[in-house]
This record gives sequence, structure tokens and C-alpha cells, in this order.
Amino acid sequence: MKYPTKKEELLLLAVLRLRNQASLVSIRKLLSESTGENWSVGNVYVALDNLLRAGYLEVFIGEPRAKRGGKAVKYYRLTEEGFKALAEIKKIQDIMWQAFSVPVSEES
Amino acid sequence: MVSNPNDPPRLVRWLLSSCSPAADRLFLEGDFEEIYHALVAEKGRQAARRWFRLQCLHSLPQIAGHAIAWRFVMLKNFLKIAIRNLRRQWLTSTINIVGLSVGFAVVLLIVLFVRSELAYDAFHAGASRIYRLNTHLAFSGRDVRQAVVAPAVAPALRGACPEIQAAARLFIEMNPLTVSAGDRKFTEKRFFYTEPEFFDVFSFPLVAGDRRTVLSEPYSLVLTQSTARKYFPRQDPIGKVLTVSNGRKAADYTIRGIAADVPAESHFHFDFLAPFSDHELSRVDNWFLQAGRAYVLLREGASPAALEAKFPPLVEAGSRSNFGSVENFRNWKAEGNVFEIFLQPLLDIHLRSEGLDAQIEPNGDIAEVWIFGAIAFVVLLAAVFNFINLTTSRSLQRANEVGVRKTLGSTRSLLVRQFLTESILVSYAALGLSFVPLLLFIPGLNAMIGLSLSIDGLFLWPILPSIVCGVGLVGLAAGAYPAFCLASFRPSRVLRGRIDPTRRSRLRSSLVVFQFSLSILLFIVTFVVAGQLRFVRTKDLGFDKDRLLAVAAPPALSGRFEAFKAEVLKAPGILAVARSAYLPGRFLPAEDYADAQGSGDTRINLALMAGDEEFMNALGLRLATGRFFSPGRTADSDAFVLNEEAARRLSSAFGWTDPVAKSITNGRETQTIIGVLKDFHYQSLHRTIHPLAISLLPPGQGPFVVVRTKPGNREDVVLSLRRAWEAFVPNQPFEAFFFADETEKLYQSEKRTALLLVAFSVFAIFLGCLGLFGLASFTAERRTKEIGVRKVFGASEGKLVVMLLRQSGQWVLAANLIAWPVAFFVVKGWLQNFAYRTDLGPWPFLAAGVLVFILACLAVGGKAFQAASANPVNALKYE
Repeated sequence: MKYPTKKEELLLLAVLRLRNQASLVSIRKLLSESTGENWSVGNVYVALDNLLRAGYLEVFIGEPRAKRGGKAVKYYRLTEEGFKALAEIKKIQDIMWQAFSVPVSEES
Repeated sequence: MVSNPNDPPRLVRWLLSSCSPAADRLFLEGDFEEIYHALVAEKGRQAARRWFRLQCLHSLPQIAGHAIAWRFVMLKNFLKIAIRNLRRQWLTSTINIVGLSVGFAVVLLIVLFVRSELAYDAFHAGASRIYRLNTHLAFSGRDVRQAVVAPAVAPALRGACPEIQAAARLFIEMNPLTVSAGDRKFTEKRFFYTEPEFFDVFSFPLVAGDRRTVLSEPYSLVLTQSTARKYFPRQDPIGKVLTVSNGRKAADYTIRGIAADVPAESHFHFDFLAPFSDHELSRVDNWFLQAGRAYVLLREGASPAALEAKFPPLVEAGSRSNFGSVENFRNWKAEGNVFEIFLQPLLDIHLRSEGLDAQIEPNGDIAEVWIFGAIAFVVLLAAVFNFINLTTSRSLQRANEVGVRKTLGSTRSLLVRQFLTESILVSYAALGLSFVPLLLFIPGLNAMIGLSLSIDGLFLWPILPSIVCGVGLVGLAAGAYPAFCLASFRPSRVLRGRIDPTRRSRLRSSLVVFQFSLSILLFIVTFVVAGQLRFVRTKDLGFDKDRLLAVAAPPALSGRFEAFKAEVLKAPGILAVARSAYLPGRFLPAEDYADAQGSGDTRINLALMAGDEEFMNALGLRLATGRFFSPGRTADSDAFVLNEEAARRLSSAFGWTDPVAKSITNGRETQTIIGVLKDFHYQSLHRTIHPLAISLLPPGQGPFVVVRTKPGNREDVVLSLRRAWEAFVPNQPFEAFFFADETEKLYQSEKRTALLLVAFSVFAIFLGCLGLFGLASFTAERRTKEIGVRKVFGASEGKLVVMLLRQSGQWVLAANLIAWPVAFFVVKGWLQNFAYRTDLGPWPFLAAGVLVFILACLAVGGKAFQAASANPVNALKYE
């Protein structure tokens, strides 16, 4: 299995966290707020589509809404594969991060 | 739609949505709008619009790139499946690819030919501004347009017409010259006299020497590279001296420049260029002198029509020296005579010179270009038809695949794309393969029909992309019908086995019939052309062409001719020797003659030939009445011997009973008729025998020595002639012409046609048989079960084979019925070119029909036999 990149990891986590409200718009908003960087629509879309094709995400279609110009919204949801991939990452990271501890800073 | 000021900018929105993948287009549009409206609420309309516009930079490239990348992933998938399919059905694929590549090879060959024909003379920088001066002359019943203009014309025009930027005269010596450098000596025919401005008009590149000055000094010479190599191998030729002799006098020329070899696609080819001012003809002030050529380069933007309009007054002024005064010339013209000079664009010379005599080299014909273009189109059509045929007939085997794919959720457009990928792949494979026969055949073809095609011509700018696009289009077109046909199968019906692929059989069979008609047509034409060529070769011409040869006689031989003749006659193979001014295929002058005793109103045009007393014997001509020239009779120098045609014409025109002893005159000289020869074909069999008069050559004169030999070894005769030649005129080039070869040259264009026809018929029948074979294997497979049942019920193998062959037989029969009437008219029309032709019997038609039938049976027979002899158990158990 190919490991997801850091960016993909963040996207998967964002989808997980937004539960049933994970649309492109909300994912982008969450990522921009939490990282403090501006994530462009294209950037998020391409990454989501790749995850979709890789089988980590699946899609369900929501109702059309007026504020979207009458277009329906596409919601993303983690597949079993997606969960497994996140679990794998977490496991490895937990092991790898064990050696790390925040040094006691001089001010504190 | 009314634009809402609160909506995002429309252009940007359209751009974004048209770049997104089709499946996600609506969602992405919605996402953009949602964010946009949120921004409007948060930061105002201006900021939102700015953000939206910036998405062209921030989001668009990523989305578009992503869409394209996935397209390629799909394409890779299509290709993988396509290659798998092709491999699984390797027989059909091979037939498809081979058939198509043969078609492509033919088409590419024709593209090469047509390109080279159309590219003639186009390499000159100012090609579209270069014109040739031609002459139109009509008087006393003759009307000729010639690519010739008097040497006096160009200098007069140059002075009087500011439109002319440069003008160059060209003069080509009619008789070959002898050129020597030390002991290297050759006979040269492409020795051109011209002027320094030649290099301003044309852009033949110089390898050495200065374009402006290379011809400005008297007796300077420009050689082409290969000529220079011939005379001075591995030496620098600049500054070397060549001696040029025309038999009467010799001159030394200094080489001052080397030109690159003249490209094949030029309407003239020179080996030497010398200053025209060295030639006495350059100063002759006679506008009616029909010798020399001239080309003009017009200034940018100058109109050729305006230039032509200035010619008549100049012609009037120039004709004064011939007519005494302009008044006389005008009167002469008022009698209906014509003397005009007109322009012909350089780019028209090679293909559009019909009706213009005295060309430097034989030209092409725009009609030929069209005909070959049409052939290319038909061959391509036949190849594509085959392709459609085979692919469609595979539909049964593919139908199940389509059914399964559709059930599993494949969309129609995906299927169409899959099939189109396959057919385009086959097309490009065929294109690659077609280069094999091209590379193999081009050298042979060039040698056979005297062309200089090169495969490099395909890699030039507009050609290569057109071929690549064209082949893609062929794949698309050939694949489109089967693709849409297959993709629209309804899965429920297919999977229940309810599809009937014979539904399209009418279209398919008409395609096969079309191809066979084409093959039969080509075969018939080939047979008839070959028959006519055989007729031409074996027809009794009235003289013994197979036992005659001629040698070009230099003036040096004149005084010693009798001794030379005696020496030659000692050789065992040689029967007679004569002087002659005639060689088959060479130009014969003609003049109008009137009854010397009559009013002179009725005139008969006579072709004029000349020979010595031995002429009749040597050629083996037969006398009808009167006598031929007798040796030693000086009175015979005013005598004519006619042919029967001339005797007939003159007798009926002047009311004579016997032309012998009558006199005729051309207005200057009067000749007495002493005898009549039986008609002989002194011209090609394209023409009826024209009235002919033979006059006596002065002793020892005449451009050719004709030798009549015993049947047998040509080489021995040439050898003994050469020996005598070396003894008498040792320093003159020896050149022998066999009458049989010279006669053959008259039918060169027919021979070329015949060769090309053979090639095309072979291609056509090959394509037709491939198509038939493909269909037959399909039919046999489709009828496996039927054959099994029939066998079980006792049908014999022979009967089954006949049953399977019947359909092909019907197709070939139908093809014959279509091809015969068409072929009849084509062939009839072609034979009209000849005044003397073979009888058009039923044989070519029957032979072509039977031949094609046999080939069709061979193509189908193997498969039919295989199907008929298979064990019926295998056929029936698969249920």
C-alpha cells in the first residue's frame, strides 16, 4: 500500500472530522482555518478526486441549494480503506513519535 | 438570460466549468458559487469578484491538468484493451493491418508523385513572378504556339517595359557538342547559352563563383557539380579550360563557376552555362527566328496582363526588318495571320503546357495528376471499405463483450471510444507498415518509369502533418460505423443470443462487389493496353525496324563517305549502308505544295524526308510505281519520291491519273515526281500516315548513316561499325541508334501507363481478396452449426464447399456485370489515341472475369474447405 501524503492525510482527517457535512467548500474552509494557509479550490478538488479514485473516499450527493446557484452538493465520506489507511498512519506515527518529547523551555 | 449583478463574472465561470471534468462540472460550479456568495456577504462584491477572477490562476490550471491526466490514464486503458483484442483476433487484425497498409502505400506513393509534379520550378525565390515568353504564329494554314522566342525579343522588352526586373535569354544547341578536357571527351546535349541575368531571374545556387560576374566575361563557363566531377575528378575545376566543338569549329572556355546540380523538379536541366553573347545568333535581329528562349522576372506587384498589353506595338516595330514596314506587317495580319508573343507563368510550365510545341523537356500533365489523385482516393476508399467490412463482420464475436460491458455499467460513449481507439491504432500500425513496401519499391519504380521520387518528400512541412492527421481520420472513419453499430447493441438481446449480424449484409456485399468491379475494370484495361502495345510492337511498319541501326554522322565524314561505306560493307553482318535525314520519332519538316502547272490555289501539306540512292534498299521500303533515285543522275536532285498517301491526295486534288512525271511547287522550288513508294509507318501508330515526299541528299550529306544488318548479333555489327569509324573519323563520338529502340520510345507513355496499371490491378485484387477472405472466414464461422447439421444429415463435403462458394461466386458475377460496360467505354476511349489499333474482342473481358473469379475462389476456398471438412460433433456440441 502506498502511504498517503501529508496533504492527503490532512484531507482524510478533515473528511472524518466533518462527518456528514464534508463538502469541498467545508473541507477547504476547515483546512484553511486550521493551517492558516489559503487552500485553493482546485488544489482541494484535485486531491479529493485522487483520493476518491484511490478508493479512500466515497461520495454521496446532497440536495440542490439556492446559494449554490441551484446545484447539488457532493459530500465525501471515508471508505473502509480510508479508515484503515488512517489507522495505519496513526499506528506508525505513534511508534515513531515515542522518542520525541517537547524539551523544557527555558522560560517555563 | 439576464445577467444578475450578484452573479460571479460569466466569462470566468464559463472558463472554469469548461475546463473541469464532465462528471464533476456541476458540483464544481456549485462549489465556486457557494464560496463566491459567502465572500460577497463577508467582504463585499468587489472582493468576491476579484477572488473569482483570480481562480483562473489559482484553481484552473490544477483542475484542467487533472482532467487531462485522467484522460491519458483512460487512453492507456483503452490501448491496453485494444492491443489485447487485436492479439486475440490476430487473423482479422493481420488482414486489417496488411490490407490497410497496402492501401496506404499506394496512396503515399501517389502523394509523392503528385507532390513532385506540383512542386516543379517552385524552388526559385521569385517563382510566382517568373514568366516565360512564348510565340503564337499562324500563317498559311498552320497554327503553332511554341515555347520559343527570337533572341532579339528579350533585349527589346527589357528596354521598353519597366515591369521587367530581370530578363534572361536561353539558347540550347540542337546538335550535340563535343566537350573535351585533355583526353576526357564526351558528347554533351545540355549545353545552354545564357546571360549574366540568368542568376537574377532564377535562383539556381552557385557552389563556387560570384552570381553577378560569373558569366559576364566572354568564353567563361559554369558547370554543374556532377559535370565538373566528370571532367575533373578530384581537382578544383575553377580556372580550368574546356574545349567545346560543334564539328565545324572549336572554342576554349574557362570555368568560372560551379552550380549545384539542377533539382529533378525543374522544367529544364543544364550541365553547362556559357555566355550567349559568344554565340552569333544572339545578335541576329529577326523577330521571326524561332530559336532560343527567354524568361522574365516581373517586379513585385507588376501585372503580367499589363505587361502583355505592351507587346503588340513592340512586335510591330520588331517585325519591320522582315516586312519592310509596319504597314506591310499590319496587312499581313489583316489577312488572318498571327504573330504574337505571350507570357506563361513559370509555375504553369510543367503541368499546363498543352498545345505548346518545342518544349525543352517533356512535361507532365495536369490531367495525369487528377487521374492519379482519383486513383489514390479510390484505393483509399477500397482499403477503408475492407476495414469497415471486417470490423463489422466481427460484431458477433464482439457482441458478447459489448453485452457484458454494458451490463457492468459501461456507457455507450466509453464503448465507442474503446472501438475507435482500436481502429485508430490499426490505422497507425498500417501506416508504419506501409513504409516497408514504399522503401522497397520506390527505387525500382523510379528506374522503370523514369521518375525521381524520394521518400523524403513525405517528411516535408505540409505533407507529414497531413498524413498523420489523415491516417487518424481514416481510422476514425473506418472505425465509426462498426463502433456505433456495436455500441448500440442492446445488452438484453445480445446476451440472449438474439442479435443478427447478417442484418448489414447488403451494405457489406455491395462493398465487396464494388471492390471486385474495380479489380475487374483494372484488369480489363491492363489487358487491352498490353494487347495494343503488342500490336504496336509486332505490326508491319513497311520497313524492317528490327534490322536497322543509324549512326549520327559528323561533317568530317562527308568527303570520305564512299570509302567508309565500302569498308563497312566488308563486315559480314552488314547488308546495306545509306545516308538519311530520318530516324523514327525525330521531327520531320513539312511544307505545302501546289500543282506546278495549276493555279496554285489548292495546296497539300507534305512531310519532307531526305535520303540518298540507297535509302529505299537500306530501309527495305517497297516501290509501288515509277522508280527511286538512281546513282549518278544529277537531275534527281530536283526529284521527289512520294508515298501512296501523298500520291492519292495529290491525284485527287489536282485531277491527275498518274502522279509520276508531274511537278509540284512550294512557291520557291519545283520538284518532279519520279516514283511512289508503298505506304510505311514513318511516324508512330498514334497517327494516320501523312502524305510524304522524299528528296535526294547531296552525295555524302545527311545527319545519319543508316545500316541494314542481317538478323542476328547486334553487338558484332556495332563492333565492326565502330572499328571502321575509328579508322575514318577517329576523334568523333560514336553513337548508334537502333530503329527498334527508337520506335519503342514513341510508346513510352503507353508503356508507363501499362506498368502502372499492372501495379494498381495487383494492388486492387490483393485488397479485394483480403476483404473476401475476411468475410469468408466470418461466414464460415457463423454457419458452423448449420454446416454441422447438414453434415449430420448426409451432405457431402464437396456440396458444402460449393454452397459456401456460391455467395462469393454471385458477388464476382455481379462485379463483372458492373465492370464490363464501364471498362468498355474506358478502353474504347483510350484506343482512340491510336490511328491503328487492335480489334477489341471479348477476350480481355472474359479473361479478367475468369481470373478474378479464380482468385476469389482461392481466397475463399481454403476456409470453405476447412469448414466443410470439420467434424460436425465439434460444431454441434458447443451448445
